[in-house]
Amino acid sequence: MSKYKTEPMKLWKRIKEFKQNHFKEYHEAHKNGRLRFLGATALSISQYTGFENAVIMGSEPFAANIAFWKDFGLKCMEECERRGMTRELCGYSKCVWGAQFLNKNIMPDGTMLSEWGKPDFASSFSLAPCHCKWFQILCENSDTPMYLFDLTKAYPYNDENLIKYMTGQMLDCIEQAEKAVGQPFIDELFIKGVKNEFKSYRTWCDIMILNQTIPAPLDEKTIFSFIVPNLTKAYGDDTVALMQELKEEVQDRVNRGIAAVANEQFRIITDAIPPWPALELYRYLEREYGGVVVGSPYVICLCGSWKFENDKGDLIPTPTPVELGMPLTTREEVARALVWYRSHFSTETPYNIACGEVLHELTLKIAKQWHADGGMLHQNIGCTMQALGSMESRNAVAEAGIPCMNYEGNDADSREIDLTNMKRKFDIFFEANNVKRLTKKAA
Amino acid sequence: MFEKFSEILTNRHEYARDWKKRTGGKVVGFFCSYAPEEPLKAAGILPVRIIGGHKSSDKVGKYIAPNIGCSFCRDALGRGLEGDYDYLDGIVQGQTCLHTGEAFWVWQKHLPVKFSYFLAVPHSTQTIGREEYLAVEYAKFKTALEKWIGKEITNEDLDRGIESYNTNRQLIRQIFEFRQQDNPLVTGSEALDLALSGQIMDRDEHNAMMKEVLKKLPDRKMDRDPGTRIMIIGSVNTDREFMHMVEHECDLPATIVIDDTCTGIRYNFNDVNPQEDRLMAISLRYNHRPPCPNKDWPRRRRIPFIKHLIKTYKVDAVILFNHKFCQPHQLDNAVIEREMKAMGIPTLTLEFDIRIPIGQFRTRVEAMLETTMDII
Amino acid sequence: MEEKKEYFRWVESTYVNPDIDWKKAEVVSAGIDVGSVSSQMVVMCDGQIYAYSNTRSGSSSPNSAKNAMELCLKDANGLTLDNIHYLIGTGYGRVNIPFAQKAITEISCHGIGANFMYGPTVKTLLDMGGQDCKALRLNEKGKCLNFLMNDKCAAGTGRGMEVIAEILKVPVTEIGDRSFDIDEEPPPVSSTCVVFAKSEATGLLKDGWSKNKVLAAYCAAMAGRVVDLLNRIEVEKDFAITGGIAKNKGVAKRIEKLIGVEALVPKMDTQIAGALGAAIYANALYKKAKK
Ligand code: SF4
Ligand code: SF4
Repeated sequence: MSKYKTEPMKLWKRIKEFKQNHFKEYHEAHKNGRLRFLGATALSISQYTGFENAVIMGSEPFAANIAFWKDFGLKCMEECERRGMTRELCGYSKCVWGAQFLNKNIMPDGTMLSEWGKPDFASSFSLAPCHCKWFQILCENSDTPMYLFDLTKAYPYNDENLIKYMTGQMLDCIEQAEKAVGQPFIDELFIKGVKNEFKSYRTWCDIMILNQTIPAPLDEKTIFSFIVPNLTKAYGDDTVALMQELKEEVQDRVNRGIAAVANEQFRIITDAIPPWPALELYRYLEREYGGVVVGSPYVICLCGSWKFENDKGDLIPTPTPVELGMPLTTREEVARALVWYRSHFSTETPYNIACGEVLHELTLKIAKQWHADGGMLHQNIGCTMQALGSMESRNAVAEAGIPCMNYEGNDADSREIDLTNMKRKFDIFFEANNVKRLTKKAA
Repeated sequence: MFEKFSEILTNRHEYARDWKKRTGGKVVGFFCSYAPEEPLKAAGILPVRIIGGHKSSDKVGKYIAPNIGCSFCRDALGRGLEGDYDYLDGIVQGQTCLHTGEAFWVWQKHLPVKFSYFLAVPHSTQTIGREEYLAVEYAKFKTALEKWIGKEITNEDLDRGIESYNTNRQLIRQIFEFRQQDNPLVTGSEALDLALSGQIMDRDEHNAMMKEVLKKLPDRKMDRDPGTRIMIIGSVNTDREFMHMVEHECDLPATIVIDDTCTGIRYNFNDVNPQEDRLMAISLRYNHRPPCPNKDWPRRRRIPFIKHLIKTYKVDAVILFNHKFCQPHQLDNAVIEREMKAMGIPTLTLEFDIRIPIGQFRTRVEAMLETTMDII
Repeated sequence: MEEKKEYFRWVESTYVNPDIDWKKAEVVSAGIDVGSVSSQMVVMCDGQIYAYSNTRSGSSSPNSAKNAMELCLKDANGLTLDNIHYLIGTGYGRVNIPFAQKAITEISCHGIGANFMYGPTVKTLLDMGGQDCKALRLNEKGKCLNFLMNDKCAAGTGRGMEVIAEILKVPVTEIGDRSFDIDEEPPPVSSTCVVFAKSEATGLLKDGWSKNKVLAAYCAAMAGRVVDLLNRIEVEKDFAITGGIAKNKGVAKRIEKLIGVEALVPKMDTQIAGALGAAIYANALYKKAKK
């Protein structure tokens, strides 16, 4: 008998379709007389909602999709290596550069495309310097106009100098983009889009909080399927509605005690982007050990905005500028509010190395608040930024008495993923922590 | 002629300890050449660059994985964890790459220091508003310093700091100019020791030593075949053994005539132009200096700078000096290689670890030297 | 008791050209290549190969050089060191060859040697040596214009092959052929690192893989690593391979398949390319000095 009731997520299929459709919209934008914007999620895409015909694509989901289809992903990487980009360089970058070199791409459903999807305007921000170098190289090679934002230090948040600096860049970017695409920027659209985004993001935070419940209504692998709408189209009315529905469904599961994993017996937090080409490892944890991944700084912050309550207290959703009654009537005000909201722990900002003083605390907070029995932190060698902080996160969690390990992997490069070894490491970890294996060990 | 610089560099920890004893002042370590040294000097503090010892330490592995952290930072952190830097009163990071950032946080958390400060230097030195932004960050830094040392840092103090560093950079550039000659009067090894010793010494004392050198330098007779003129481009270079090998141990003659690294000309290329707002003046210098790859976007300012140096110093061949897992430089190297190829300049990429296989490197360097000449 | 067999061993060899009388030669030049795994000596008479030896390297570079020299001159009709006008050392031990007049790197020597072996059409050369692997671009004279080297790991090197031979107890010279004696090409092993090779190979055998299949997976993985280098240097035809691994069809053929270019067929022992190049340089430098 299973410990808990479980049932599939009703929205799962619709969100899959949402993703497929969004990619389709992007790739077919030109055919439909629309503009393509490609930008690093978080701080550098929402401003494009001011263009009437914009289809906006987040570069990380764009890259992750390539990585997920590992055969194509591998071809992309090899093409980059042939051009002198070393094996150690960022996996996401190489996915997108490779697609551009090969002039091919792939849809979320695996359909190959005969064009990589050159944007009309591109942007990124310096979550880490390489996140901008990624776009520098991409745009140089494809002759794409770009705007690269400088995010210097995302913690302590609420820093007036930073907000002023980044708001100035946002306004500058809007002007540059207007010139480059030859279309007017419409403030009303921008304001509406950003307000929508606040809603979508706020709802995400609520959904993540629901996952603190025992048993967890969601597991991380399923959550991965739900991140795309917010990541790349948080400004849309449809996304606001979808997130609301999602929240209701998860709430309903909580009310009825529906678990993501029927045999939940060990709650796990992870870290960083997962090894996309090897997501089956999540199923291994569930099947073999009733291990359910309840969250990570990555997935919790990715589509929301968070802060510490009263300085170093618990992690709580950042109240949105709307909730706080900030003025939101002019372009400047909205840009400023957006920067303010997003420069909290939002998307991957906690990994910004300037947050090194708090990343491990944030991870520990998550472990505690999400009731983790252990941490299995992905040391994502595909992203230097994430990999560097991961050991200190492990140390902090372990020192707080929650068993924690690092496992090495790669978000994009299947050649660097050793699934056998990963599983072996997991086995040892579970054994050491006296977690009963649910299946008979293979002879 | 440069022995004294080399000696102090070798005994840099003794130097710092002695300086403390002599002056009663505080010593602050910094990781990256974007650290705000002028304000530190103004506060009467000795800033010293934290560098490795080309020795591995098993204490690092707990904090930074060997298969991801740049070898330079792992080495530097290792020296800290081993206690070599126990005389430091504080540490400061002027933000650049991820690796120095992480090394800073680990140091701050696990080693006892009375003062630590992460200065958010802009990542891009081309963005709109970055000069004002950095000036404000300096002001915050200055306030933090004042609180720590318990006294105000006046404009006069700042002027002294600026003056000392400007003079230092000018003198270094003057000495470097002698490397432009057909038979360079300063070898690359000497130049490295000269520039690097500056980063760990009281600049006024360093200046006095350089002034002495400049008196004699024009008359120096070089008793060596300059051979192939090499430029080093890349990650922070503290590898004196390697420099010596290239210039003195290879079968074919070679001289390292210039570099684009943060322990050489890149760091010393431009000065602080005085203006009423001192902190803005300093901000301008750091924003406008030849960039490290981390800060070289959206446009590429490094390539024209490198080309300028190649011409001025009559460079025949280039060594791309890359620390293991230094992704920032790897990201630029493919582009630099392409540019060098177009210019017909042979390029050799070498990957440096905490300890390097000097024999293998020698073979590669010699092979590159052979490609620059006709053996038969 | 089981006899201790050394699977990594390959046969040392010598050669003397019966059609040449060294006493009639105007210039007798020689090259010695001291590598980490093997050492060779080549003697040339007026630019023609007269004799060579191919030996295992010993404990020290001077000893290895001496061994190669003694073996090479043993049947060389009374030729002694004194009769050699100019001798150049190459290979990683090149600076420790007591009787060499000059040292030139194995990179330049392999280029010139390959040019002699395969003719002036060779533009891209892959040298797979004992402990490193290099890709070279050459001009029509065999001069090296550009090179890339992998010495980070033993993948694609002679040493790596020897380790595999020992682990699987298959004579190293048989690896190539046996790696094709399989029903279906397996995926490359995930790690070519010799440190992990042992546990991985044992694991695969336990999973029921045949030795040949494991060998195939290793050869494929090694080929994969080497091809990275070739791709970076950009292969231009003609393409040739020198060094010990050139003899291992299991790796060589798989490389050809991956880059879609066939290598020229060697006419002589590919392991002597470095020493041969050194002898050619020695010949030229001696003549230049005499003028
Ligand atoms: S390594 Fe990480 S931070 Fe850097 S570009 Fe790649 S994904 Fe971005
Ligand atoms: S060598 Fe590279 S990675 Fe290391 S500190 Fe310097 S820029 Fe950073």
